[in-house]
Amino acid sequence: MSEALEHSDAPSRLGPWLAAARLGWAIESNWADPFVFMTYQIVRPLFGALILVVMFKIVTGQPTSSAVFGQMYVGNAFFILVVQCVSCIGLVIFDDRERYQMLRYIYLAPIGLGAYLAARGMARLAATTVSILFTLAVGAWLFGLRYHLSPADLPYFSLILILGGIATLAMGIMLGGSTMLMAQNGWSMPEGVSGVLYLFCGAVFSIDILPWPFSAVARLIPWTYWLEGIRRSLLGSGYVASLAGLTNAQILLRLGIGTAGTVAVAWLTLRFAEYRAVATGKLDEKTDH
Amino acid sequence: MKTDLNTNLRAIWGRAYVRVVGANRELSWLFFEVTLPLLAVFAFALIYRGLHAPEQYIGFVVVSGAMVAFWQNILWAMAAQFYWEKEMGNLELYLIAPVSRMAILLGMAVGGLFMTAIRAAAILIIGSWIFGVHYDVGSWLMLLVVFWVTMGALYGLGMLSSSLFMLYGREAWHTANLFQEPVYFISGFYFPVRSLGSGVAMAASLLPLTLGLDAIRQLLFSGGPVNPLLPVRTELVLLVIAMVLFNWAALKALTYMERLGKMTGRLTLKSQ
Repeated sequence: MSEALEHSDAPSRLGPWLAAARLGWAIESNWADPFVFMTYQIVRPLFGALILVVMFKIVTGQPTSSAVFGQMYVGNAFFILVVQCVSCIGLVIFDDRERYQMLRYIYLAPIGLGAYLAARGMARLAATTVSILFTLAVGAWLFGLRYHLSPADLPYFSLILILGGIATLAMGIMLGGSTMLMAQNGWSMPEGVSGVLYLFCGAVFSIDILPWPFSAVARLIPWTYWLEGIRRSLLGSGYVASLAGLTNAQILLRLGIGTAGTVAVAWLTLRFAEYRAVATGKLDEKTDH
Repeated sequence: MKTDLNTNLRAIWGRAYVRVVGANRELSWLFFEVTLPLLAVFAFALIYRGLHAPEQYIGFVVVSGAMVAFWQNILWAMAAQFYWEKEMGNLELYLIAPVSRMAILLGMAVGGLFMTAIRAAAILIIGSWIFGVHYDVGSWLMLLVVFWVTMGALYGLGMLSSSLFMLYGREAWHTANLFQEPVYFISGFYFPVRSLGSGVAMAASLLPLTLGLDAIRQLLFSGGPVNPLLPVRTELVLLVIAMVLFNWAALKALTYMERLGKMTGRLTLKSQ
């Protein structure tokens, strides 16, 4: 069987991956009608953005078309991706091990746990992309935001998006992998991590107001540069004053290094957790009641 | 079948026990249930700091962080609870137990209130300490009365929702999710609700959370402008009405939904 797998062609290698992504979509949408699911998917982030709108208006009294509001709004809109993907992939192991009790079979399947987790996350990534686009459209339509993405900026913007997406998937895989060694009561951990990232990457406020050492941590994680790159591409200017001295290429380079580091740590975490889970029998150990 | 009061009281304690004692045995839950709302408090407080808002707004956010814990408990551990119980196979055990269904719901509410009060207190203390929030309490007695009446109305709403959720299938998860950010927005969790305009704010007052939060803010920050929706006494009267109404409706809805569930065969149907 292993020989057959080694010599399998590309479409058949893609097959398990697509099946996992399809499964991810079904589970994430809770087998709901796609329209109903997307409505739910859009409403939450939209109201999250509306909270920001009111906060900004009552404090500053400035119009929402102002530059500062645009920076906050865009950062918040794109950070939805991190919250959704990290929370989703981070809970896959708990779902499959405790609720559906399928983890042992998935482990035996030829896809591999890392690829399986990534494929499950891809389904959420696709759904979240729609949420982000909708939130951005509402920003332009209702709040007068103007996006300045020129064709010349498109390659840079695409690279920024791809690298940020990879870093986010890797973070999800890292957390998902580590949950193999946890009891089911650790289900809040992925949400907690995305909350911490929200604070540190300056999604809605500049990282310059963070006290040391938090501001130093903010400069180490790739999402800070991801959001800065997105803001520069979409709005024409960055948000973080202390990063203003960096060129676009330097932002991209820092994002690339951060992403590579996150992927490496995620891979090591997954391998270690997988090894320990199999060695200690935790892989299919049901921990709920 | 009539059950004596003692049996029902024991049922209330039995159902509450899981949350009063059991939930505090797992310290990781306690940690996350305090930390997660605190992260949101930090984020919103830092947004206000970044916008150079008056310090009072940061106090609003800290108080709201504590109230978020109650709302989360009502959504996930009251409203959606019968859905989880159905999935786990406990719902049929509740239904054949020789006790009032309301005793089970009351046990859930009492236990949930106790469990969440510990978490909310931790959020309030830590948040206030970190951000140096200064409270100027007008009347401690009134504050306690408003808080408990708000909780009575909120958990009444939770019990009512629990009855409605009983027949829900998978969509229970999405529905509970849907009642987070939209409710935080219309109830004015992170800003004075009046900022939304009087019309929207009055409509939002159908949720006891809106009135309770507004009244609690007025009493906690009586020294400064809080842009209140209504006078505290009026809000208290409305909250009392809501408390009675929601608890009465919960009793009626539970009986109706149980009968409907039996007729349609969905009462114990899992994974629908």
